[in-house]
Amino acid sequence: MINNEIEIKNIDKSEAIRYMGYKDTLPDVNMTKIILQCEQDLLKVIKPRYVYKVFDLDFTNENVCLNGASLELKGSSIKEHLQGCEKAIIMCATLSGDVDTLLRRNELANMVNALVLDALANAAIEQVCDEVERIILQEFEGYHHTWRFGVGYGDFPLATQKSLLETLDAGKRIGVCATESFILTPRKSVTCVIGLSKVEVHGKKSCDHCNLKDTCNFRKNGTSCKKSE
Amino acid sequence: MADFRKLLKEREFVFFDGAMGTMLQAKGMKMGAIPELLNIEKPEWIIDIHKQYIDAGTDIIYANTFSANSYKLKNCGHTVDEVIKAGIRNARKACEGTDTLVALDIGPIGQLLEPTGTLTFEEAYEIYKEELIAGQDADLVVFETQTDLYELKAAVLAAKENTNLPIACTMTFEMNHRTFTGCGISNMALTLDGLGVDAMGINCSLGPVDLYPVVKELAGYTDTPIIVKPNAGLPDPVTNTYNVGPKDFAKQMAEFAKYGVKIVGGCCGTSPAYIKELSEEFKNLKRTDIPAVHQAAICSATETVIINQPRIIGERINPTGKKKFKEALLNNDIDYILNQAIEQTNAGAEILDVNVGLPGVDEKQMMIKAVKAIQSINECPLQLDSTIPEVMEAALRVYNGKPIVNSVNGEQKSLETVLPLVKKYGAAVVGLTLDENGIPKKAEDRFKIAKKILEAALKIGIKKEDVYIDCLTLTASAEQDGVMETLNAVYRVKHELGLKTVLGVSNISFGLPGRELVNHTFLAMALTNGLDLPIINPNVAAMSGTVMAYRVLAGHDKNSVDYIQSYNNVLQYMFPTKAPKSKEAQAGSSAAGGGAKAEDNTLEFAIEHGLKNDGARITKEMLEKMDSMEIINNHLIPSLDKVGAEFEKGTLFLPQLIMAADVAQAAFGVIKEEMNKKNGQAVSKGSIVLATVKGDIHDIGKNIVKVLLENYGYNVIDLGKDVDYQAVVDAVRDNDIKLVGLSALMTTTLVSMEETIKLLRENNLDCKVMVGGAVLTPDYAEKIGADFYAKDAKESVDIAKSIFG
Repeated sequence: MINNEIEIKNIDKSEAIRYMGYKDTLPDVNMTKIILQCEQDLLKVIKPRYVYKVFDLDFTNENVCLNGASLELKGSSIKEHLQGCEKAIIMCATLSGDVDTLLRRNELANMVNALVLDALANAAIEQVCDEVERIILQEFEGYHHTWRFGVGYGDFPLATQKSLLETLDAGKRIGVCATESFILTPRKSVTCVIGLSKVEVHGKKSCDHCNLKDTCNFRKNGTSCKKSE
Repeated sequence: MADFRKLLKEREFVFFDGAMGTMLQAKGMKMGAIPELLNIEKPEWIIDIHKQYIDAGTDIIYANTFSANSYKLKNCGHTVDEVIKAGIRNARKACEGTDTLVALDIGPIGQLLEPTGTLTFEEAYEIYKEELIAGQDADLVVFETQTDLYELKAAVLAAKENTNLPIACTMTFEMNHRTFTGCGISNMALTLDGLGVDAMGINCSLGPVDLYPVVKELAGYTDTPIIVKPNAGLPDPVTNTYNVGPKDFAKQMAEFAKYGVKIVGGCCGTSPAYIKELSEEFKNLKRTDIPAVHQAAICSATETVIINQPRIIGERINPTGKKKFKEALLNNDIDYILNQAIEQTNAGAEILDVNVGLPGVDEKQMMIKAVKAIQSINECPLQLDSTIPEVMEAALRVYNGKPIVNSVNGEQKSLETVLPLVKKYGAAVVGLTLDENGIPKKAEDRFKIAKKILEAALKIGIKKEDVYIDCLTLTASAEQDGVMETLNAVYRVKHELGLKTVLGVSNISFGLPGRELVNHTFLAMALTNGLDLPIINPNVAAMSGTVMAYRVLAGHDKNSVDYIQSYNNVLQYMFPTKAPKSKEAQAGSSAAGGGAKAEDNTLEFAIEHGLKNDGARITKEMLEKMDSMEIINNHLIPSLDKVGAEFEKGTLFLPQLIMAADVAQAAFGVIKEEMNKKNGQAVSKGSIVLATVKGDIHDIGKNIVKVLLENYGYNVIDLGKDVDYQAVVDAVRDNDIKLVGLSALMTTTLVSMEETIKLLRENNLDCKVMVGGAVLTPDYAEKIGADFYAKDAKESVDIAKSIFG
């Protein structure tokens, strides 16, 4: 592992197409051309980076505490998520800032490309997270793990972003910060918590805790944002 | 008292200290805690660590003040002033009885600046100013671990304008020789040397060995003392320990003496043991002095343009003689300017001139806005163009990198007002060869003025390579003899004074037919006479093509590599007639292929299939036969509606909807042009204000809505993202707006949406409000007082229709 960087060679286009709203139909030739071109443009500028730390968990207080860190995980959703886990991985991954510039430029000059790039970038950051998760879990053979629980999900407060980033020293290590309203910058960045346990843990993602469950377009279409397997 | 500048002069090497955070964690500080609070809570820890570094041979210790800024210390119970003063006090205490100096240590704020983040340049300046004033009793200030050149510029300006402290700066580079924000070594060196700092260099991120090539590159760009403060190798993510020990670290560091490094120390993972080995290792070393290559160069934050061959300056961002541009300025339409920037760089411009002066426009505010917006989407350096010193200073302040100032001239007053600005902000400058008596007729006299400008610049410390001379193009039709005088002056300035030369080229052909021919012939002549920076319209293929061809013929473009590539990309695009076959390959052109049927040749077909070029062409043809309103109402809008209905049914998707809108936009463009020609009124069905609310920066949804609304014929006043409540109110009042669209994506920013609506209501403005965004629900929209909830972009159009009909 050199310097927290990983490489992705191609983007999961079927996911990106799903994000664009396509359900049963496939994009036509014209649109496919655009998607392929945008994929190339995006691959040129993304620089996936990540940082993570692993902590022993302490459930003795109201909030879940991480041994050796000042960060506390507040709310019942995250507590429930980590129930039965001994450790938690705290991670942050990003596609880095050049993607933002590419998107800004296209939103101005070519909105279709901007939309396609946005969907592709969303697919790419998920891919990066998958890959990072895989790398980290190699270190924890024999452990079961939960799915990636994002900050802001359920009642896990968005305000956690600031202290979570501090704990990871994410600004210095991979250039990720949060705004005053806790939006991650660069924009295509993710923070999350993964529980680790020696025994089997409940681990399937569901829409129950999601703040978007009432307005979600995937659900309206009878699917979910979860990757089709 | 010891003095940092003196130390740099007298010593072969200067020793900075090692890590503070690593030492504090060893003492039991929790991860994620604010280390600076220990200045007050555990001063004995801090003093002890400082003392260990002093004993190890450190000349300058960093006070424990790295993140003691108002953002990081928010709600911690102590002020910036208290924490920093305590930090300096502890450091001074540790230094008692020694010559060791104390540095005020300042790291990044911890929030990203615009455009990636929301912090403004001006806010960053204020945050740094507060830290600097609190710590002005230190012996110097060090800005370290910086990754954003813009943020660092705010910091350096704050230091210069509020303290007398010597300034050292170090940025953090990755393996690709760039920082996280894309800033390169040359960009840092040119910008910081321009601003004038006492030392600069690199800290953190990598170990010494990986930094060799980075430092080598830096040494070629600057004569300012260089600092290297690397990590102890790379960290292990699980144990958080670093892989290079003290002895190896010192040995690896010794190599830097050969690259001319003056100041050494350690960053993450280092300890007093490292600094002790380091000072031992360097005892018997001699520093090799590496002189920088002094060359004419300017930069943005991410791109450096070295003027070692002709470089194209794009002239299009200038309202002179351009009706549409003037209109855009009056309407505050920054997007128009940005598209001009994109078009020119696509056509081969390497530097963009920016002039936004127009009667009736607040030039200073517009300049600030334009410079910030252009550098957020465009990488090439800018030439700031204004005749008003106050506007120039504002532009120089917010520019990110080293720009060109356009311009100073031989008049005493101009020299006295413009050159000090050039010096203060570290720019290059264009000197016009005219003075109180106007433009001299003879080359000899223009040469004399050039010499005078150069002398005045040198006198106040501007480097020779940063002075470019414009010998001024006169119109051939009116002053034929003047043409050769200009070219002779260019030749002499270039070869006798050794300065780079600039010329606005297009003036030459005023009043003559076939202007393009005259222009590019003159351009070729000027290049041969030594013109370095032609200011041209790069969108005219013959002009940028002449520069590209000249580079081949003059031997700059080795093996014609750039020319061949440019020909493929740029020129082919500009000479479409030369490559008729490739037209079909362009996205947006008819995909129907060979046998295009008659029914495919309609505006309806073009819109439904996203064929932009066809849409524009067909609209032009239709305008010959029918009225523009008829096209809009009977063809354009119904087709868009049809696409919209399919989108609602779920048989067609967002990208296609937007593609259709793009075609409609192209059609509208043609219609608007026609109406302008006929001097008719603008095609607008009503004005709508759009904004992504305060605190939120997710604006792609809002931008989609904007595209759709515009293509239904509405005039959209786009206030952008992170918009103040009051700005929405002002826009509604000033433009007598009937419909406002607000977007927010986060639960945390819905509050701002509510506040914005509240303020609109309090001001009794007669407007409806529609809201949208992922986390919104119809119920919530109603609760916060919105009139409409738009579930998607299409619905916002339906709402607009219901209001304006």
